[in-house]
Amino acid sequence: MKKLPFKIVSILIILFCFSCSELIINEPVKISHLEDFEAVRQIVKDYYPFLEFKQINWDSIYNVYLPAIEKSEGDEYMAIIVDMLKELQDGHVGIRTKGGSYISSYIYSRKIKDYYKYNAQNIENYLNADLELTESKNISYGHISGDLGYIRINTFRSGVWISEIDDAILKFENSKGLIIDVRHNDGGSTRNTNFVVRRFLKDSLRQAGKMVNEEFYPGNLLYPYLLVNYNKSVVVLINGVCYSSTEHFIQDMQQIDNVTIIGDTTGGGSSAPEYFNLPSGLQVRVSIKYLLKYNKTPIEWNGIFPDIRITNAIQEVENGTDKQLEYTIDYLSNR
Amino acid sequence: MKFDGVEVNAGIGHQVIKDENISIEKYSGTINNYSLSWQKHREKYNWRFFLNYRSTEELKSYKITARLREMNFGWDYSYPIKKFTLFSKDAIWSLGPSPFLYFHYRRQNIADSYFANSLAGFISIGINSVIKYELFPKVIIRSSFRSAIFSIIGRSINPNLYSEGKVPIKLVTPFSVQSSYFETQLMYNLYKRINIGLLYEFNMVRITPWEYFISANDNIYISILINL
Repeated sequence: MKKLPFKIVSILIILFCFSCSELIINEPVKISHLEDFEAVRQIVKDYYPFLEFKQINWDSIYNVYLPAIEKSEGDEYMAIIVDMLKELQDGHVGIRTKGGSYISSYIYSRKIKDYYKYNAQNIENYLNADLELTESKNISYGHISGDLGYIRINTFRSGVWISEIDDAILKFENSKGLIIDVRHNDGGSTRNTNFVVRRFLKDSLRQAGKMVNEEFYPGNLLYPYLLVNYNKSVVVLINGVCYSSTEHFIQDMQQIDNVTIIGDTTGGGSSAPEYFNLPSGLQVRVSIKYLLKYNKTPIEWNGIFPDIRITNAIQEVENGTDKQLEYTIDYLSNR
Repeated sequence: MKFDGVEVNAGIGHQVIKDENISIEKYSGTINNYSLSWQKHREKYNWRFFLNYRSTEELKSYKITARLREMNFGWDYSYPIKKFTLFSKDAIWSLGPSPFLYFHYRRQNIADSYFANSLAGFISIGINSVIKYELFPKVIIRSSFRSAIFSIIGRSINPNLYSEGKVPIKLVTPFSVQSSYFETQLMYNLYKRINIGLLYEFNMVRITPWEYFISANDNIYISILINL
């Protein structure tokens, strides 16, 4: 009999010990996320330009996911919205939380294919000295024997850092040829890609246009930048991870006579995404522009094809070799 | 009974969190705790360096799971303020400053291989209060409380909603950041230099600038203290 109160007291103490935190933090108010779901449906319907090109029946997809969203509890609705957006197979599409965390709905297939077929550390095996980094660390460069220059651009994300490219180009102004490596660069701002392209243009370039309501609109006119202008042979190295504005950079460079594109087809996503607010405070990011290649086919899904297709193999990359770079060095040395 | 040396604690607890950086939902689950401290108790002063680490992969709200990592690091310094007797046993109350650091990381698994992150951290200057109560010559109960007063806080935010950059830093008062810690420990002198004990701990952190954040946990530890 004496043991019973002790046991009860012990249980009560343990329960108390593990319940303070539960008592302090209240259950949230239950809200329906159907409004968010409806908003996503409408935003995609109103703005997404590739439904017809991708032969997606968006209303039927909405109907498939509707029962799941009706049954969802807590944050499960986020997963369902992400799954629904995944149907667009677009690397630019996703959701963003109030705190700014972005959740992509789709990883494009060429990124998966090429992700392990490149290792930036292997580059140093082909250089005369270690790579030098610019202040922003977005650009690195070095000399390759045979009087060749190598410049790697990690990203085209927005910012004034892109002006660092001028110093890098000027380092190689007397070189025989230049390699611009944008492999694994998945985009950023077209303002920055234009900044670089102008350093290689000899004449003005009318960029590839876009489609709006089935009508073609020509692109911007880009002028050469004469203070820093490289006019020897150039190779741009590309792979399947290259995406978005990097693809615009590649196709603009492809229009220049002394530039050759070597590597593998890019990811295929070019559609200038925008964020839209949802009622819950989440944001959805959706592509809104139907941007074209110079041959007037969409960049979306197609990607930019190289002039010379050379692929790396995972095993070779693991062994420290870079076949794409090796081919490029031979190619430029023999020109 | 001496309290001079290194104390190692391991335990489990119950964690609850609501972080509107990601959503308004409440996540809860079991958490693993480890802590290490180095302490000195003298007649005129006490101090304790401490490092706590909490981790779990099991926070849950319906079918959505989250990973959490939390860390506290700091220094409690206190002066004996009052000696008194309680149920005819001796007790000492000490009070002093506590500079400490808190770091929180949470990864919420939204969908297969997609997740949202949230980061929060602060450096605080606070106060700590300790009551030591000698139950028996070989058994001591020690209760302590710590609370932040002024903090410098950093938090991951959406740069599109605020103009302060991605991880802004701000000096805040107890009205906008509350960090409270309470522990009660029963310590028994097992053998000469070795004390063993059982510890209950409660932590609460509340951050109101930017998106609302509250994290609380109750923990039970097994302790071993080696007097040096």
